[in-house]
Amino acid sequence: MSESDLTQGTASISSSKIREATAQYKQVRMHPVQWRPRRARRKIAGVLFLLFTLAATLLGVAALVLLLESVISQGWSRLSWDFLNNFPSRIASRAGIKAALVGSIYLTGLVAVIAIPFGVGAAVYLEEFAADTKWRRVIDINIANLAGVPSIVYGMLGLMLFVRICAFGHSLLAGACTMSLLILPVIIVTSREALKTVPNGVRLAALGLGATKWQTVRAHVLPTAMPGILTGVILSLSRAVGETAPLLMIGALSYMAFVPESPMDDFTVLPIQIFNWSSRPQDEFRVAAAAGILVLLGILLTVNSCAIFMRMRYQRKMQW
Amino acid sequence: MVKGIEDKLGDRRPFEPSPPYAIEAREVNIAYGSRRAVLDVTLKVPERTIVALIGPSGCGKSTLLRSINRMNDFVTGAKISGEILFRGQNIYEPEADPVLIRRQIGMVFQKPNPFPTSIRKNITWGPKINGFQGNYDDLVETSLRRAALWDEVAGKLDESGLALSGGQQQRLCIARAIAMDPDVILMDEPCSALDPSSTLKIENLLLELKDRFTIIIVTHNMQQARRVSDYTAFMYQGELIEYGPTDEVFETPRQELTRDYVSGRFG
Repeated sequence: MSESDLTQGTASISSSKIREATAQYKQVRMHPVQWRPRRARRKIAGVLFLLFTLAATLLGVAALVLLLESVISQGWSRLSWDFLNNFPSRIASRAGIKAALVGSIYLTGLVAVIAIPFGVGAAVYLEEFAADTKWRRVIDINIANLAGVPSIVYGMLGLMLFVRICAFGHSLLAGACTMSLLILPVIIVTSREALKTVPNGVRLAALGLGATKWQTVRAHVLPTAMPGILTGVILSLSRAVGETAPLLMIGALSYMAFVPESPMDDFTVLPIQIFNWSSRPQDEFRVAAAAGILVLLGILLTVNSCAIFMRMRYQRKMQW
Repeated sequence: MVKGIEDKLGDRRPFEPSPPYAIEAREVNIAYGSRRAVLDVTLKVPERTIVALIGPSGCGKSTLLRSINRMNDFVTGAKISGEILFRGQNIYEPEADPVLIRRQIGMVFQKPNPFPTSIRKNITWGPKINGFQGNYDDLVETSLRRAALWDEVAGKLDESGLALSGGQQQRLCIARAIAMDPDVILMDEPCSALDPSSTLKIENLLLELKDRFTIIIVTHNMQQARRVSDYTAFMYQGELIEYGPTDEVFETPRQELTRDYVSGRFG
């Protein structure tokens, strides 16, 4: 019986052949030498792996608890309405973070407005429209690489492109554009991964009904991929909230006694304010820095909770 | 012509069913890169009939089917030459609009693929984007009735289409295709993922639908081809070996190759 007989399905299996195969099977069973189950060893390996993953989890949690503990013990008592509502001051007890808090919120909002459409748009183009050519693969690799470029390099790019060439100055807009560039690759990569998980049958079904590509993407592909896209967007926005280096590079102020009122105004953000305070010699400023970190963590927590909430809503809307 | 088949083939005069034709393929060649999947196929599909495409795996029958409503446009590297006429119009001429063609030539896929949304929206989305002006509730009901699914889902139109069983999902996909009131429905092995009782329901459904639609069905199941189709086309290695009335293809095939295949000697 040749292999082609088997695949073509013309082989007839006579009862003598069945008997032969059964005999062979029994022979194998009767020679346990050919099998070394090593069950004890496999079980130990399983337990070791479990312990390792548990340790890895606990390490992360422990680091977080340590951080929170030290920051809360230092900064909690400093938190007050005044702290949130005062501008920074030379006198540590009067210093507040209003300018930085407002700056951070505005910056994050602007970054979201700029980075989400461009990032998700690029991902949709690359995943849904672009033909699989050599050029696309070159772009693919480059985007993945861009996600790993140090943030200070984006700061230098922002300084040249937005501050100088576009003449935005050291403004909120220049900062937001720079931050958007920084997180674009991450949004693109995560959004593409989310789009890849959409079953192809959904696309074909829509196109087969006489939908245009845009209608297919708009009504089926994007909503189906939305939970995954949101996860990526929020993670990168959180990163934008916490980044300092590129903003220092483009010249965000570290002392500001007013609130930015338009995208062209000067600005500062929480991480810069925290950095500024923690580099002062006086202990009172260290306490203010700890309180600032608490505010920053609060913002991150809020942003992330929003994301989880939106993701859950989308998942419920999709009736899988 | 593939080597080795040539000398085996006898009478290859093309079969001419009586007009009018819904679909007419003329010397269609389709290639994926350097691999030629369909070779010189000429085939006439009369209106309001069921035509079965049979043949072993990889013989090009699904490729040919997908080319009839230009779903091959989405396959990278697929190239087609020749003409496919839909009501006398070549669907591959530059002015032809693939979106309009797919609206008139519906498709049911091998694996049931309802949208991850309610049964109702599964049916109404296609008509909605194509500007249907009539009553949507009636549309949902008639489509589901024609797909023999209404009795099973009447009370739960707002539940997810994905909560249905595999056979019900496939009938939902058929209802979704019917709701567009297409001229032709293409089916790519619609029963291959279903159990025998669901298969039977869908086969009965096809016979009902024949009054209104032209159906071209790709199937691996020769009994199915025999039960439902009026005409059968047998393909082998990209070529149309034999095409004719189903009874003739199965009872008195003109080609030895066809005889071997339909009698289960290979495939």
